Amino acid sequence: MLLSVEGLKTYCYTKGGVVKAVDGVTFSVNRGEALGIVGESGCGKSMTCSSIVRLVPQPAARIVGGRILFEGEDLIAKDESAMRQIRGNKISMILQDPLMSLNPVYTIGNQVAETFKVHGRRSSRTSITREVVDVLRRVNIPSPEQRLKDYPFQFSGGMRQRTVAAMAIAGEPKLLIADEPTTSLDVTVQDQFLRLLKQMQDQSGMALILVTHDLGIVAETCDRVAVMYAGKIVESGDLQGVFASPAHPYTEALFSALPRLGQRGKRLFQIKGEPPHLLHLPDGCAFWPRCHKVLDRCREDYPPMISIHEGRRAACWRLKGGEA
Amino acid sequence: MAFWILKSAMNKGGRENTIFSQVRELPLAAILLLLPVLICGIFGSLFVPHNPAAVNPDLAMRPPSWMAGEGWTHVFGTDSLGRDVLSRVIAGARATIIVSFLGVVIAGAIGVLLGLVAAYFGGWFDIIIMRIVDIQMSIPGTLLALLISTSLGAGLGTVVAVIAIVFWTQYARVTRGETLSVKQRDFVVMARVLGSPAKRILRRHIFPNIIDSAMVVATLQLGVAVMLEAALSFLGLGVQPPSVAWGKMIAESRLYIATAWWLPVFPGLAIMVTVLGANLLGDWLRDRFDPKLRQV
Repeated sequence: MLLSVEGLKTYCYTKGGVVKAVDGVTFSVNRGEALGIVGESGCGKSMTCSSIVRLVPQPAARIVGGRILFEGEDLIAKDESAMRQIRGNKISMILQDPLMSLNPVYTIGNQVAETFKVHGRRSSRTSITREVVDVLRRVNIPSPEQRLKDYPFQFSGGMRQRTVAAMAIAGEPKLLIADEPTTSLDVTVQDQFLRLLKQMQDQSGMALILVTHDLGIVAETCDRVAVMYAGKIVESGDLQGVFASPAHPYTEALFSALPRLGQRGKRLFQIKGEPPHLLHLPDGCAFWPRCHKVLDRCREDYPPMISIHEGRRAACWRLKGGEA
Repeated sequence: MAFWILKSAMNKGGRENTIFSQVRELPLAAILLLLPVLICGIFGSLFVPHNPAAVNPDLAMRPPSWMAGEGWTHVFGTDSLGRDVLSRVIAGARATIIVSFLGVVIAGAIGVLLGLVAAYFGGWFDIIIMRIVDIQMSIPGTLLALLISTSLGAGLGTVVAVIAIVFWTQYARVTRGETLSVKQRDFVVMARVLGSPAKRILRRHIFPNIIDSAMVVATLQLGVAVMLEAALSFLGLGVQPPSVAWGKMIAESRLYIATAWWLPVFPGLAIMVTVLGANLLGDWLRDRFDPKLRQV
């Protein structure tokens, strides 16, 4: 087990009240494994990621509970300088927008070298340049020697995203967190980039947490899936299991909302209502107002995570024979 | 790529980027006004027609040469002690330039540093710094300047200190605001994710992105600094004799305003030219670099 998140709670303290952005999230990632975290906007996916690297937007947001065990050590207990040694070195992250992740005033070579410099590999300038060229080649930047002196604006969107990936893997991390890495890329470039992620993972054996709202991407890239809704994980399990027979009504609804080939002329399925405001969550299960299988009990108590079979869990009263 | 080409083409109105068009974009008025002042300040002692401190009672109160019709020895006339007004105006540029530049630069260094740190780390440090800024901004600048210079004693160093202390707040505010917004940008988050320490992020990623705004504040404050220096030397709290300051020349001419208009007018014009030049330069810089006017 590389990473094990247990009962993580990250709350945002706003004027309107406490927003429980991440509310008791538990999941784990094995070495070399790819975990997909799926959910609608605002369900706490990104906040979960920034909690793992301890970069939640302070002072508004705070990690208030739980444990984040990485290689057996609790990251929440670590101080800032210890965390700095972990970031970029052992856990790295790719942000959503490749256009914004590069500083416009520095060259590509200069920025990719940052990871090497920060982590104190006191090597000479030429050897850093060699390492930068190496890592750029690993992310398929064509003729990296010539492009080192280019500025970000001279790169295309896909190349910029790959450069960001190069910065992230430069420290050879054990875990790479990719927060919606392809949202701002067009579809063909998306596909290229996902294949690159997969390839990097195969080469280096690093684990991957891929945050997305696109089930297709998860299917292509991940070994396991966790579905989040309103700050909680509602279902998790291996890819085949979850995709073949979703156990939670929300997961089921997500799948029904996908367009299918050969289904012409029909309206797409739509989950009724809208995601709840995190300040005004309904009592009981957060999903019940939108659920097509709602029971009386759902309106009162939040269902516990119920183990369906090995490695498959979901939080729904129906699984506990609640139908009776 | 195409977007950038298009954008630069639109900015230039489709004009070719010739030397001529580059010259046209320079702030010519500001340069024309400031350059002579700068030259006088730096090289003035090489070409002053007379020793600005030389007293000559025989030649006292001569009007400008074109009025007296007695040759070009004293172009701007002489004062009550027979000192050459032109030479003194040229010599006065030095004190003005040293004091206002140094003061504005020191104020900038203090303000930018405090603003950066306050915005980046936030918390109690931010609160304390910004409340000090608020409090200081509610005290009239001139009053504060008088208070400081009377307690420190007159002199060049004092005026520099006064300008630094009075002006740093503006930088702190502007820098803090800019830093707060740059701090949220993804490349800063990315640097943190990759484990860069705060000092490195501030120096490498935030500072280059906020320095434009600080530069704009600096040039706009240059004009105010010149005025403040003149005011302090008018009140006798500026540089001390034998150094010359425009403000003091005006102060000395108070008694003779009715009879010898050239005594206050020429140093007054010098102040006006410097302040106007600095303000025009500041406006030009602001139009180019102010993030509020910048097209992203």
